[in-house]
Amino acid sequence: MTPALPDPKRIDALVDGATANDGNEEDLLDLVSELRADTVRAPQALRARVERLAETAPTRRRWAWRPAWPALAGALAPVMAAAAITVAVWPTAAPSPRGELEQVQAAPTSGTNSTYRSKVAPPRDQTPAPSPPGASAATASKPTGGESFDSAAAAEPRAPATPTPVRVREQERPRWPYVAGLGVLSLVLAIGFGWTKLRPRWPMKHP
Amino acid sequence: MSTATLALTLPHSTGTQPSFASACDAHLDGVYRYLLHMVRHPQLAEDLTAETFERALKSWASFDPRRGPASAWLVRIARNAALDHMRADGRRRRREALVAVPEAVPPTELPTGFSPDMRRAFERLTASECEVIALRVILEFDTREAAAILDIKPSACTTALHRAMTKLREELTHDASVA
Repeated sequence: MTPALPDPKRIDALVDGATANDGNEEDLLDLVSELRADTVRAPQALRARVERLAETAPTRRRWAWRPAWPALAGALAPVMAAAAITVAVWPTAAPSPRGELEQVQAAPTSGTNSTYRSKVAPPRDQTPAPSPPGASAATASKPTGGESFDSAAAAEPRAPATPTPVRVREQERPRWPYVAGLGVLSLVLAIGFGWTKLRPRWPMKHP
Repeated sequence: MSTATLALTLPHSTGTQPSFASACDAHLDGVYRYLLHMVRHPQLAEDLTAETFERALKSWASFDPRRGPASAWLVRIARNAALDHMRADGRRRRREALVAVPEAVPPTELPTGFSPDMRRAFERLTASECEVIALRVILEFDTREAAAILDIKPSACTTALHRAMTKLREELTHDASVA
């Protein structure tokens, strides 16, 4: 009956060079020594074949631009494509057919709070047309249709409404979020491309 | 330790980039012995050793000594080459078995330095048992490196070594009792 071997961790330790504590472990070390006595060497033909192969290998590893060019091109291609798309597709700052709009403050008596007026077209005059000489004051202050009529307000002359530019509506959207987004995307692609192409591929995974 | 054993023992130094020629010189015998125990055919082991170093030369630029020794890297390439060959050979045998009776291949005596009893006992082990003994005992990889080569956990490698050594000793004892 063969005595049982030591536990697996003890076998690991003995194989790694630990000393035996009893006869059973000594037997195991004898077995290990016999296995390590296998000193077969590669045949001379194989040695010559591999030596010829080794003569064709580079002597040392050094930085080379040649394998780096594809990674560089791969990194620059999305950047250039993003720039080209930006230049070609981006909407120009040409004015719309209505022209640039300007928000103006309406007159205090106006029915609406505000209105948009074309900057190109002359603003509608809120002041009453100058009365021709000889016209009566009542005729000049006659209210037009659609406005609420107040006798007191109608009696006094209306103050001219000065158009106040509040803000100019933006026709051109800001470019920087798109450019920044494309830049980040290009960076991610470049890092991924460089990582997959240039990193050392060891240890190789089992197929 | 003799000079021959030193040459056969794969150096496990890390951190420096050896030249491919020096790696070939240092690890050729170890890779050949590993493949010899794995495929159990001298001529096939020679071919696979040559293929291993051809593959290693192609990917030598990607070898990083900081990740592990060149010996483990080469043995891993050798293992992949052997597994590729075994798969292709299995497919070929299945194809040929459809149309012809397979020939009986006479057993080839391995050019190992074992005693006859050890050789007979070793031949009765399975390929995976031979492999773990070759890595842990003959080539003297530690548990972590052997587990990385076998693509298993270190605890599984420890268990596999225990089983293989137990079976090997049982075979040796059985032969001795029969004799």
